[in-house]
Amino acid sequence: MNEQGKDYILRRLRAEINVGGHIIGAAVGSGMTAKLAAMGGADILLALSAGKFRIMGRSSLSSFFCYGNSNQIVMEMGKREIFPVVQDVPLLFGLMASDPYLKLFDYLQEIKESGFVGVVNSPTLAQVDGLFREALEEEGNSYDREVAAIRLANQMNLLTMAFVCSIEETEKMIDAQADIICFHMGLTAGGLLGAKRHLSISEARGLAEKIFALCKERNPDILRFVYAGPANKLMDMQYLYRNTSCQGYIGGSTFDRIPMEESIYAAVSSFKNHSHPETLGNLRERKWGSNQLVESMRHYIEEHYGDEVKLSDIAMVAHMSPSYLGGRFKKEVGMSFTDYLLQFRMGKAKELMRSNRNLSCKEVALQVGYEDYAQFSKMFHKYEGLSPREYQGINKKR
Amino acid sequence: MLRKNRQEIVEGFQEHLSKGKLLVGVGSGMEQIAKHGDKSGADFLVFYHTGHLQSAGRSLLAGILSYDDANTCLQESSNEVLYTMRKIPVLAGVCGTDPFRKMDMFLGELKERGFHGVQNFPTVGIVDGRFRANLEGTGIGYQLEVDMIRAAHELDLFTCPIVFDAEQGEAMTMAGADMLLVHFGLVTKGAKARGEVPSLEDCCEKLRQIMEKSNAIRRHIPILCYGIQVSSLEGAMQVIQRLPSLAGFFTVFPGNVEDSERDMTGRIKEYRTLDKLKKAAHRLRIAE
Repeated sequence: MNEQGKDYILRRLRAEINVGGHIIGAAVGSGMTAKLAAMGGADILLALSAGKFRIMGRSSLSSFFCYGNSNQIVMEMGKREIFPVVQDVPLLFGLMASDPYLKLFDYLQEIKESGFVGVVNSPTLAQVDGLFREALEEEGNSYDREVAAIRLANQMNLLTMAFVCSIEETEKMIDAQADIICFHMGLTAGGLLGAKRHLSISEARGLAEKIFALCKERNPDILRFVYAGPANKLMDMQYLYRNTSCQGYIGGSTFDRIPMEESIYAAVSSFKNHSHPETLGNLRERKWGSNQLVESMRHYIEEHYGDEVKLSDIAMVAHMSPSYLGGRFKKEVGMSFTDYLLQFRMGKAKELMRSNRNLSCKEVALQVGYEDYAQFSKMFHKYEGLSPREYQGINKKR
Repeated sequence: MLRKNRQEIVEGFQEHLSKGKLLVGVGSGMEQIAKHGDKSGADFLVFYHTGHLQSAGRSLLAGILSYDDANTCLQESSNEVLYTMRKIPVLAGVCGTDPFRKMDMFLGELKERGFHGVQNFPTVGIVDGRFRANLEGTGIGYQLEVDMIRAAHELDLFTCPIVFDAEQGEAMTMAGADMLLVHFGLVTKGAKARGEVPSLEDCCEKLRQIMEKSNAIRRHIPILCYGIQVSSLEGAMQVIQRLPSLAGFFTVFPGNVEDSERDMTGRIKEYRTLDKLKKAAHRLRIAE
């Protein structure tokens, strides 16, 4: 891919926009997501440390923090995971340009030699705000370093994509001659690890319009994309395509975290809870209010009275102590779990004997969960005051 | 290496305070400097992972960014400091939000290595704005640091967490912190220019609130403070006058990049003033 050069890739991206209307990019964090995104038709891939963290089940924002060197993570991922499986889609390197350990020129050279077609400033300080941002900037961890890196990368004939969050940043990146300006709309909304606070889609549209207008005015050749944020559905993107001059969408969580969360969860839970999906699901996920828990236990008895039922097993599945669970049950139902189970089984046994007079007492015992007939008979006697056979006799006479 | 357990350290500090003396803590990320902790007269040292970064010209603050794996760096660079320090306890700056650690096991390793205690550093408490809100929203929150301090306390490590407000002070005290370090917040050049630096009064008020809340949970929990407002002797004196129950101060070496620059340029300038002297002497010699 690299041999074809930046100009060729840009030509191809433009052709894609002319023909298909827009570009789809994917921010990837592993060989699998890169491969699948490429197969799905992504026009460009971004190797980002945020992607790696997502694949590891951590929030994208982890990529900003001292859990590893972002650039090393991306370099290793690109070389080991992505390039061996994806050759035909251009891959950008997510560069944290403020890294004090970098000799920028040499590192960009290394990036190029490793096979990346270009760079994108990510994790970017554009996402950081407040006094924290100001303090970081003042001591050299600055957005300007990212701008400088984009400028240098351009001179080294690398494809450059610039993440921007504001008009000022856009201006700087246009001056640095970035090939693609990508409006970073913040964290992706939705899913288990999604942002709780984010731009609304109409706020995003407003800012996107301004940023793209500036791009068009200064240099109409710059490609104009948006990244992540509130647009995690096709519908949102169609809204942005219609209402701004946006030419492409880069998805992060949209193309890895959210689909994976949904499909893995669904696959495993469908195997696990195939017979009684709701009851067990409720118990396992602790989806209960004050009375739902006991309700779920009663459902469980209804479904399983024919098998062995143990309070200790239910407790373990629900991650609670048997004594607590038993206490709750007694408090809400008015009798102990064992008594309730016994009553339920005896009720069922009588029902069976009444409805099917040809059933032997032994079979009835088996059907209500007693392997041992003697035990069943004893319990029945205790409960009804007469043996099962006597009960059956009375029934037959009627 | 100082052989003292948590109880002994706590008692030592209490005795110290009961004599009416202040506690002074010192933090450093540079091994070469941290090793002087013993001779410095400080009461305890907190060792940070930021040595490499500081060598590369950044300050402690940059320690929070994804340039290094903080907890790994800390482990790798701590040996020499731990071996040289013989008189005062050494605490580790532990990144409590690290999602790749089973925290109690990691703390156990630190204890075995010889650390007497821990502090939550780098801390997300220093982060503000929308970015901070998003951090908390996606599970990278201050609460994880509270949990870390609790785990450390359960392992009988001495804990001196950094707190920024009364709520955090409360949470940390509940988690078992032996001492609190109140951070007065970031001060940037920009904020100075805009006149937005919290005044000494504001800081004292905040300190008072924190003292009140945390003392309600555990009486006489020692509270230290740190900030540009008390970096001068004058500021520190004023705080002590207003709040005599303050246990002491904390300081960091080297501080920010600016400080080291100032120290260096100051020294060079001193020598530069000798230029004239040299020239004069030279002229004299020629005249002779």
